[in-house]
Amino acid sequence: MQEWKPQMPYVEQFPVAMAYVPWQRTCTMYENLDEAFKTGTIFPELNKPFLGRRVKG
Amino acid sequence: MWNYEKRLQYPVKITQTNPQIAQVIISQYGGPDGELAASMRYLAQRYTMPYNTVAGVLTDIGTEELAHFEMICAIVYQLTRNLTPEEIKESGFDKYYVDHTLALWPQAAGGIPFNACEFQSKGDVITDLTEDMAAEQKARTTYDNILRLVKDPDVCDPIRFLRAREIVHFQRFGEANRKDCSKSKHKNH
Amino acid sequence: MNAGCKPCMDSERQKLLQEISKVDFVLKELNLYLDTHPYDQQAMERFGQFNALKNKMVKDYTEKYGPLVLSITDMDSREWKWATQDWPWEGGYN
Repeated sequence: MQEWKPQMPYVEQFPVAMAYVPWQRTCTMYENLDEAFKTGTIFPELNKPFLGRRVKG
Repeated sequence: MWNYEKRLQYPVKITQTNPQIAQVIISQYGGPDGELAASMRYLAQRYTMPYNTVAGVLTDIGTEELAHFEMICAIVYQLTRNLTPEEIKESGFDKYYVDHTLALWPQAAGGIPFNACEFQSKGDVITDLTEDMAAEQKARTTYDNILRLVKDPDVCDPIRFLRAREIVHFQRFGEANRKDCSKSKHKNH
Repeated sequence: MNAGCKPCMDSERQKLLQEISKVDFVLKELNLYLDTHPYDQQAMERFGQFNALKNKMVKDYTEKYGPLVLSITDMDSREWKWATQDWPWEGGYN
């Protein structure tokens, strides 16, 4: 399994009136490059496919 | 600052022409939420970024978007290849054809030409990165709409790839927006 | 209706080009990841491994079929293949 741990961000305050996107949790990579290429990302965590009428997160 | 490789980022092999869907897909070339707008936006914003890493994100994603509008153009080009006058008239493609023949010209599906009003470059890190996150979501929604309208698997395959890239780009712009991003010197745990 | 893309005549060539595209895609993903995680040593190592692989594959492809980048071209050829060979939007080899 191709995987490594990303940098851990230090604990931070979250002031209001700002937008925050969480850091990527893992760096697991698809083992199969074919699958990664067809999917459009090497990180399964970032794979959010179109499933029909509405997107599921 | 550019070199290129003589290949598309992801293959485009359309076996069946279809001018109807070409008129829809062209929006991801010249439309308000398309790849050209994305590229011009990011490549314009990067100069006034106070952090090198953020300028890096904008330059690297802006460059990838150039490869994406190239893919969109390849799709539209292959969808409209060698059309007969009858096919052009039947599909409503005649309105584009009269001005451009079968050439690629950046416009939205509705006909509005590409223009710089389709993006902003505001000179404030948070404003620009927030604009960029919105841009990636708008592009993703446009691809969702294309996938609702188009069923040809030759077309859906590169479109799904391009859609997935928008989600990754959103994540990267979101990370760039975290103020500690460029200053973090943590080793791996 | 007519076919949209040019036919692909050589499946070995197409396969090698596809492999190059896949490896380059990994590099692009790692590039974007590293832009926001600039001290991730493992990601950098991974980038180095895939980069070495890609360079080798591009050199192989160039020797067999023609140039993919201007910096690696066959100077013994009588033909400037960079311009005379088909462009990728034609759909033959892309």
